[in-house]
Amino acid sequence: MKQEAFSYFTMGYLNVIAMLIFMAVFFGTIVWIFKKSNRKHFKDLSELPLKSEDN
Amino acid sequence: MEGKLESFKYDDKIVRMFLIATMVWAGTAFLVGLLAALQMAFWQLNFNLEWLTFSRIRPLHTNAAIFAFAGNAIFAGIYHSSQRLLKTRMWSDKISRIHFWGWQSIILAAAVTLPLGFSQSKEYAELEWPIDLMITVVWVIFGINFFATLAKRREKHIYVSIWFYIATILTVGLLHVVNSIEIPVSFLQSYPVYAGIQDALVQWWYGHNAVAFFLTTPFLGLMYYYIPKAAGRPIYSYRLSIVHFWSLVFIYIWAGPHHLLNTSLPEWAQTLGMVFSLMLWAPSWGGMINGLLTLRGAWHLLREEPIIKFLIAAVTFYGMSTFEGPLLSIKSVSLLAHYTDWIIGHVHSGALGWNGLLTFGMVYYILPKLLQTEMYSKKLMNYHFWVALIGVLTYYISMVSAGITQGLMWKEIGENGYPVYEFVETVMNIMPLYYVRAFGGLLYIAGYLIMVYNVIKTFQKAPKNVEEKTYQAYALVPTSSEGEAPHRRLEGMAGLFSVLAFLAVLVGSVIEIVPTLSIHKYVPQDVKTLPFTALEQEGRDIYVKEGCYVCHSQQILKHESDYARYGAASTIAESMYDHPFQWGSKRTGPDLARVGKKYDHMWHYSHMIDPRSMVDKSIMPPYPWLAEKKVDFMHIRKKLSVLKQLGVPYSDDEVGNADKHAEEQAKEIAAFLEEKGAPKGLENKQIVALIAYLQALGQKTSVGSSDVSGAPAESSEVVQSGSSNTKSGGEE
Repeated sequence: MKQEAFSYFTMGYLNVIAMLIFMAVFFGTIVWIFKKSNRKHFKDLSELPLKSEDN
Repeated sequence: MEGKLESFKYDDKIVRMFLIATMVWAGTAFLVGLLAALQMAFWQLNFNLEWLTFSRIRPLHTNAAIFAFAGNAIFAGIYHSSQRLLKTRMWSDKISRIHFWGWQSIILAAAVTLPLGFSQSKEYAELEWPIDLMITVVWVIFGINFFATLAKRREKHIYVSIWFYIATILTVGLLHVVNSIEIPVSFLQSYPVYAGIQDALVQWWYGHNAVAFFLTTPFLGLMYYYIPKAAGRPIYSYRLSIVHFWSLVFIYIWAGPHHLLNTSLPEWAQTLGMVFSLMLWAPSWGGMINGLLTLRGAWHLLREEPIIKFLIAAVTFYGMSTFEGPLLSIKSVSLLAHYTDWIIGHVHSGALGWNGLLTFGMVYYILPKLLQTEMYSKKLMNYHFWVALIGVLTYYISMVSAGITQGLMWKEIGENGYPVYEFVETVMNIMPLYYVRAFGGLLYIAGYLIMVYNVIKTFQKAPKNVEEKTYQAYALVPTSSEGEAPHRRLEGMAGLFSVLAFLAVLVGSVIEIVPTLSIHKYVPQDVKTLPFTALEQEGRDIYVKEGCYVCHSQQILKHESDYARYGAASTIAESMYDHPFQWGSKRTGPDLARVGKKYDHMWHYSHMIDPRSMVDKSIMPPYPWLAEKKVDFMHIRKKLSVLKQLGVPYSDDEVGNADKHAEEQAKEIAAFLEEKGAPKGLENKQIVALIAYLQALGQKTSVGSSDVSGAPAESSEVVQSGSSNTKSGGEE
């Protein structure tokens, strides 16, 4: 089982799939974050500490 | 849709308790650090007491700085900011107190056991198994308190600081549990289940991510809250902070192997660690810029407000040390910096500059608000800032200079193929920088004392019996989320987000660690490694207990200068039965991977009793108590049987008669020592076991029938002849 797990790391297509997942997550996050319609939402979020009581 | 308006109070008493604990343990961590620094410059400063010896107090210093000082600071900040960001009191006052007192008792247990030599020798995870269990329990209690508070929050949206806290709680729990899987031998001793290269990889996966998720993510959470609060303006870019968060969570976990560059760790793991370390440059600097630019349009605050000075200097140090970290993770740079004081400088720019200054800024921000007063003196806050800043810089510059100097001297090879400098010469050369470092630390402590005075005065002038204020907010009601954009819904689900963050961390860990569990795959068929004999194993435990790994590595790097000085590069086979591994991370003294049979028993005996009798100018403290303390021979059986369970190939006879075999070997060594003029009666003393172990280093692995003990014959001759030239050549 352990040996099998190790041997997977030489399998090219798995590495490619892993890389694609990583890139998809990365670019998905970027798109979500910088979508124009979300701008106001994030601005509201950034005000949260200032709205909290100053004590 | 909103629920009904509710009134509530924050639990500020627990914040105050953690703040005071932070201040108290800061003093302890700094003072022990100063003592350790002075011992580099003056070896006599252990006052001939074993529990004040450098190798025992260095773990105490690091544990106090990380878990006592920074730990309590994190908890104070988390309890203070989370209640306010979530608009609710902590879930349970009682559990908060159990967390507080549980954590302080862990610290006390550490402060007692480490100087007494109860240590697993895994850096920043030295504490023995009963304390490991305590840490697990207290951490889970803290987690429960935090998530329960999250569940009863009145603010739907979760600010980025809270994400950083969640990542901290989950990942530190995972790191601690996985790295601490060990089998107890007795009440205060255990062997880790991992051996050699596995143990090295798991330990540095832990060690690196302890820095990432104990000293970075929680402090970033604090930064994202307290800089906007202190500056009175929102963070420069909230979007950047989300990129910062997810990139750190995805990338940090992979970077551990950069602590093991150019060692026997397989190349693929080294390269992986280096590449992911380099990738960290981007998010770290994004985060730093985000913190700094929050002050845009308000830079005058940096001139006027000492709190802002502390916070901004802290973020600048974050940027500097996260620039330096990836730089040091490049294999060729690591070759120069590894094992030197450059690394010590690097961690202190992080610990004193980033964590320390941020903590001070936070304390100055929170404390007067809790006491409903102002700080006693703004001027003293400014003094503190400048003294501390000059202190850190002095410390940092001296240690980086020392590291580069020593690294270059180690690499100097003469035309005859010998190292140009004896090891001890490279130590003597950087000695002045050790004085400078101690002075830098002293300045930092002076700043701390100014703060203590200021804080005490503030307590004195504060109104007595401060009442907790009452606040109001609307309760959250479960809404059908139709009509809301999908990501908003997702964001409300703290549970799901936590699981995602945890998965990101887990995947990286599994992919990196699992392959090395099949360690035998990496050892060629014809290579045979014998386990240590009973007495040698006993000596190994003494080596671990005394903390020899603090100053001596057992890993010869893949570079000519290391071959010339110590012999051929270390192999995986050589440490395959080592529970725990002893590769070390610093060479204050020379590498010991192949010290076996290089000197005779008497050399080692004399050297342990008085290092300077063998190596003139050595800065090693003497270990005379080893010649007085006795070996518990019967107990060795238990040790070997535990190791056998863990896969070390001992025969039944070796385990069952461990005491007899050990006694026989001890008698031989003691007889040799007596003949050479050592006192009688050493055969049951610890020093004999330690000598047996040292003589076995590098002697256990052979290819086929021929004994290679690592080094090719040629280069071992080089070392031999080098050492016979002068008395000081011995330490070569």
